[in-house]
Amino acid sequence: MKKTGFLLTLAAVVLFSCNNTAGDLPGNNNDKAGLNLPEGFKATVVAEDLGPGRHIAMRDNGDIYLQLRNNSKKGSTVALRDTDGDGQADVIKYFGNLPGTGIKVHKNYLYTSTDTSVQRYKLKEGELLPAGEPEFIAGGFDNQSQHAAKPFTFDGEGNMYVTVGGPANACMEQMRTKGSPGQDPCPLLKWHAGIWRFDEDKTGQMQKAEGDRYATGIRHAVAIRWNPAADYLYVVQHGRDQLSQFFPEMFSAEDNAKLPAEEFFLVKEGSDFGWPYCYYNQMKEQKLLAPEYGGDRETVGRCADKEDPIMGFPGHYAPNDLLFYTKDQFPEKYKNGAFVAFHGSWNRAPLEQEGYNVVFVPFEGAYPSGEWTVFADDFSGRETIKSPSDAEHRPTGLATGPEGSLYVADSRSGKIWKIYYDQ
Amino acid sequence: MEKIMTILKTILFTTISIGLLTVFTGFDSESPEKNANAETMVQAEKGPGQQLYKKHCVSCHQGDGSGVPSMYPPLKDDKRVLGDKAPLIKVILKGEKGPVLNKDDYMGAMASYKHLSDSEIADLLTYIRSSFGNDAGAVKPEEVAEVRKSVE
Repeated sequence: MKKTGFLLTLAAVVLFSCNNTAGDLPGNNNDKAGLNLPEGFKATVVAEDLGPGRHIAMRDNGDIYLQLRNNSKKGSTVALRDTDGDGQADVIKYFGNLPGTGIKVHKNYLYTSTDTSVQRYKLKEGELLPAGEPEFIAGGFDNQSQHAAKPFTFDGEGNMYVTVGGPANACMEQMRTKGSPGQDPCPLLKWHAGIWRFDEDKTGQMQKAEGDRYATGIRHAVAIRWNPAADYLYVVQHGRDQLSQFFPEMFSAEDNAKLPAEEFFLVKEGSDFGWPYCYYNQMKEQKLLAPEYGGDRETVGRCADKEDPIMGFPGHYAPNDLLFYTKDQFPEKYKNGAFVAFHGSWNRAPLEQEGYNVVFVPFEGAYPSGEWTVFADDFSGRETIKSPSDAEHRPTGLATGPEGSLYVADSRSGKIWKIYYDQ
Repeated sequence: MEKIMTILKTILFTTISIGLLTVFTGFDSESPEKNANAETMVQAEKGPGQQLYKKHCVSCHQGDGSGVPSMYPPLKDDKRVLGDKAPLIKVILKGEKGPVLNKDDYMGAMASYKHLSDSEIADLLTYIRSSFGNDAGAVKPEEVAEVRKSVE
């Protein structure tokens, strides 16, 4: 009895002292919502079970929009509002029938993308749901089965940049087949594997007529964002897979688990980053010739002319979103730095899977000023991940709210976390 | 005969439910009259089927057959894997492009594995159909040969 009494007292003391340290920000439950975060950061769950999510966007009034991967009976896009300021959404509405990946709030419009189009809805002040039918801005993309997502970003000068992924692993003659050589030149580069530029305001633009190929040699950039501080476009590429599966004499399973890098690109008009001919070895910090094109782990060859990344992340982490932090809530070192949401690997088997986190890269001007570090982790709810389906949640979308918190969306069940600084 | 059947049932049950090869070796010496199906299964689990799976399939379909959400379909508890053999053999021989529709849209693409021999494909499919909690019959090389004729 005495012991129980002591424990209860102890629990009360612990609870009391925890409450005591709670800050003033709304939604503070003195918790990290299951996440592993740096000192001083906390998190709340904004909403969950919204359906498999992709990218996320926020409006100046704090309203949240989540694009869903699939159509559901309720709709393809979710709108969320927190009316009482506790950090949890209490109005959740679905609309539309155009599922996909991209979503951004831009100049009183909500732009979204399917795998073959970008469209926009007019937003009315104070109203959560957009009014009227969507206007189609860009389309005419091939209906491709691999790397089909069409995320996009804006430069603030009237242009919209859309990712068009390469529908292949390394442009082999026979898709993902051992021993099949790479097509040379790779015909996919004409209409795929790059960034296409469009007018953000003009309806009915077709890729093959009005689209302007801004950069090439990018396998698939789900993570794409204009960096307003540097005034350049940045993307993080999903690197190629299956080096050890197709070239076991050259690459071990351990090599394949690390290589190639997921490359962080500073994209300028006319940039060519080398896919499918090249891959990046982040340990050697070298762009090397791909084995499908005669590479032997050492030869650089034509890759000498291709542009290097500004940073190489570990292989197969699957960068699904990129965000430059321009707000003031987080400590100074985060200002204008980059957050990258890693969806997590599948191509490290038989080794354990990795990624499934949000990392931070400090920036000074247009370039990283230090190494990347894991910012938020434990989304998966697992100590170790043998296969992707083990993960309860996978980070896939990033946004910042008007108050400067970082919002992270999940692709498995559609959970949204709000991460805020509360020293 | 009844006794043999009981032993066989025990063997099959043990193999399928536990899915471990080590347990099976214990029964081996006591049951010399195993049927062909059980024998193929044992061989597949112990040897070539599992090796072939590790070599050609594991990177996409994963070690536990759970696949990759929205990319590569799971092989465990899947109608196509457990159902008729011919369509399944055809997928191996011809490859497949997403979306594969069953529980979800799987947008990944699978290459053709027609360069594998009939007996390799039989071993591989026998392994897949009897692993990850799956409980479906073995595939024989002749069955692969038959489907190969029809797709070529």
